[in-house]
Amino acid sequence: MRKWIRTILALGAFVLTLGVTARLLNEVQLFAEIPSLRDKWRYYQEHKDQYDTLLIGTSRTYRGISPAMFDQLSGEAGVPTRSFNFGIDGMFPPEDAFVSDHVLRDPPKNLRWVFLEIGLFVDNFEGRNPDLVRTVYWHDWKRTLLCCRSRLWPKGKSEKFKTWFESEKGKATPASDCLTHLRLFFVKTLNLGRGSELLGDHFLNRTGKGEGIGPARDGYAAMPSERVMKGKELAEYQAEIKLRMDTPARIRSLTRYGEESLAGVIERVREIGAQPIVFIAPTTGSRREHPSEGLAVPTFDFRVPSEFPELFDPANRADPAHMNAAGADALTRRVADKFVKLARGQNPKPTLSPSR
Amino acid sequence: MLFVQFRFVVFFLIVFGVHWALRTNTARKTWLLIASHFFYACLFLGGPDSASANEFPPVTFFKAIAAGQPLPVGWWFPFVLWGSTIMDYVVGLRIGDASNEWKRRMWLLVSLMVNLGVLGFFKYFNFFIDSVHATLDWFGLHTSKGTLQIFLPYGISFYTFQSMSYSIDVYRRRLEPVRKFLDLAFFISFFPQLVAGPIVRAMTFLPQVVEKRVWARVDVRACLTLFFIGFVKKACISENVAPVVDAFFNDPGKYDVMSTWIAVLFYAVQIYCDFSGYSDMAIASSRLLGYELTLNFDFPYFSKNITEFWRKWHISLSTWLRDYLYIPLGGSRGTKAFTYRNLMLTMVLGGLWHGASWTFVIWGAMHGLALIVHREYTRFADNAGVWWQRLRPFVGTVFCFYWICITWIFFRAQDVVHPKTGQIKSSGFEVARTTLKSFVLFDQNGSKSFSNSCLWFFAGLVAVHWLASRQYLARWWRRIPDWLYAALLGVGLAVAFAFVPQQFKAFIYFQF
Repeated sequence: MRKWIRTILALGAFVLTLGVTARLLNEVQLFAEIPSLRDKWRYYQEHKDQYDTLLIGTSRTYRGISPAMFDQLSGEAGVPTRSFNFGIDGMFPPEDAFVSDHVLRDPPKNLRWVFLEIGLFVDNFEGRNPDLVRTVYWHDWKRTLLCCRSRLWPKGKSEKFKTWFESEKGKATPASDCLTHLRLFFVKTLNLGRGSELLGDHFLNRTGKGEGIGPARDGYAAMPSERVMKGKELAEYQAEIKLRMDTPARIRSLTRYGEESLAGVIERVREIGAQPIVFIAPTTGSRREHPSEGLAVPTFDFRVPSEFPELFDPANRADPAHMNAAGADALTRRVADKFVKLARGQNPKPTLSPSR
Repeated sequence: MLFVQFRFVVFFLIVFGVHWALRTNTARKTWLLIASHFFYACLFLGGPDSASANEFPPVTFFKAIAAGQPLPVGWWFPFVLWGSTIMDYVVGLRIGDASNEWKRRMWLLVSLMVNLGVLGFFKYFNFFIDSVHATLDWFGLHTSKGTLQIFLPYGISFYTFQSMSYSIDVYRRRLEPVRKFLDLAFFISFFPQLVAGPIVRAMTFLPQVVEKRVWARVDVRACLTLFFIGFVKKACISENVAPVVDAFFNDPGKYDVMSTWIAVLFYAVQIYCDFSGYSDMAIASSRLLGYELTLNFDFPYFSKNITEFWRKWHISLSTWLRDYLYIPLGGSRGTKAFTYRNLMLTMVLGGLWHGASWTFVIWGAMHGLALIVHREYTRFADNAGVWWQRLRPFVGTVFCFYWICITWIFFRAQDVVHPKTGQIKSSGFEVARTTLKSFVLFDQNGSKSFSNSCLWFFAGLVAVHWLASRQYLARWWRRIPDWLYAALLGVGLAVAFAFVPQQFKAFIYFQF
């Protein structure tokens, strides 16, 4: 009997120290193995108390909104701000929520405004390599559970068990995706490969092609104005815009899990006494997703070509999803304009109510 | 399925649990035989990359079959294994029952011819055709090259040597022939040592097979520690220095002298940690199941001379070659020239055992040459002055390691293939020549460099390795209570995990 107790005690000690050490190591050199986040995170950590406004989102934010210009415009309009662009290439929900959680865990002292870009909730691995550190690092328990629920119960209702094992040809089944998410959760929890990535970078003198903090050191890096669409890409874009001029993209509510992910961030922003603002970047597509009214969050929707024609002018765009430098100036003006109105108490309301 | 993968832990826990739950020795052996073949199947079922694939190979296999794809390359590997086992079982019985010496010799010859024939075909057929073609080409006789696409069955070099050792030992009357086929099949295919050794002798292992294993004799703590050390060697060290080595040997002409040194030193680390790590994990897994395997490495890089090195490096192969090749050739029982011929022949064949390539032959010949030079030098050095006797161990260790590093250049040098066109950019010889120029003559080949911190990393490894060789790290963990040992193992594993790359390469010695 005593032998059994000793064995159980030893097993307990093993699991406990393994878990505690792994947890501590999780926090060491946070994001250092993710080139796209590393530099921006370090700079932000060192200077965060200078900022009262944060812009968090994908490359559309990163390439599209200039904090320097935004601060200048809002300052001139009597609402002084000091903003930092925390846009990261390809950072879609729920990855953005994970990063936001860290950004807001120890927030800037005077944080007042947090812009959150709405992106498509990605719960599968289509076109993505699940073994990249970039896919692994945000798989904490919260995000893993959210992705698994989203894959197994996409509508929030109890799906038939057999649907978990059905998929379109060439695509993974929900069950298979869930297993991958769970595997990535363990990989993330146990820090598998984090040190190895850093060691490799160090040995091979790999400087990394990570997102820089930009020439103005505000997290923003524009695409050159000369970069514009050409040929087939341009023709397709123009056809799409023509269509959207007549028939604007339909307003849809966010998916259940996209909203849950966003709601968590909004709640945190409010907890720390700041004001969340969500915005929809000017891109093409047949629908635009708004958060539900229950979240009561101001929404800046720029996906309406008839309302913001200059944002959809091909001369201002590097591609259908991104603005070039000239376009970024135009978008920043629009964002600043809406922001100033909001800050002055003229809360802009969505043109249509989101329909579930 | 590699020892360092999580799926191996799951596999092993099931095998371990069922093994010790079974009551009879026969049931246990049958279970381990089935498990061994399942382990072997996992190596090729998922296709050529299954060793490092993320998907469980049997799943890949059944998916491919369901999709109507052809059987994976290597589906026939187990037939070679079974064929070798059945043949040696029959030969063993025939030798044992033979009425005269001539018949015994004939049956042994059958075993040697079949085993070496199979090994030679799979391993050296294309090498032989290529070499003949190149020679004829050199003489101006242009021929059409008729090579076959031959896939080398995993572990063939290891299990062939094991089964041959059985036939030879029965022939030499050192071992009674095995009457139960299960015993021999289990000995040859026992999964911890099946694919990359250690090459276990029938004389060492078969007596263990006959006797029922007892759980009380298993030193669990020692096994876990050995497995953990092997895991760290392979997953945390070998895998992390590999990118530097690969980057260098893909284009050695681009790097400066310091980087050449770093790459060669790192390769010495990589191959040692890869192979000795595998051996440690194999020995530990085997011990947990109650079976003892042969020690394969004994801090070889701290050898004071090349003779000592070969007593400490890949011990199971070097002793096999000594007992079944060098000594039957005459060993050192004849003239000096005769002894040196035997030494050289043994080492060249040892080099060729590693693979069908002239660079392996050169590697073996360089070791043969070093062994001959050392024999001559020993006679002179034994009469040297006191000061030299004091300096000798240190100078010997450094010089021996330097020479071994030079030989590793040939061992590692492979043809560099253009990733897109598939054409050979530079041959293995060119790679070796460029590297040697920089490593030995300090010729600056290029300006690209690795971080100098690699040298600090190397120095750290040397320090830890030295402490381990002095047994400073070997005892204290035996004296602490279970809960503290488990807690430390938890911390160690958590730290080790951080340095485990997400995707593994197969063990280097799998290719041999």
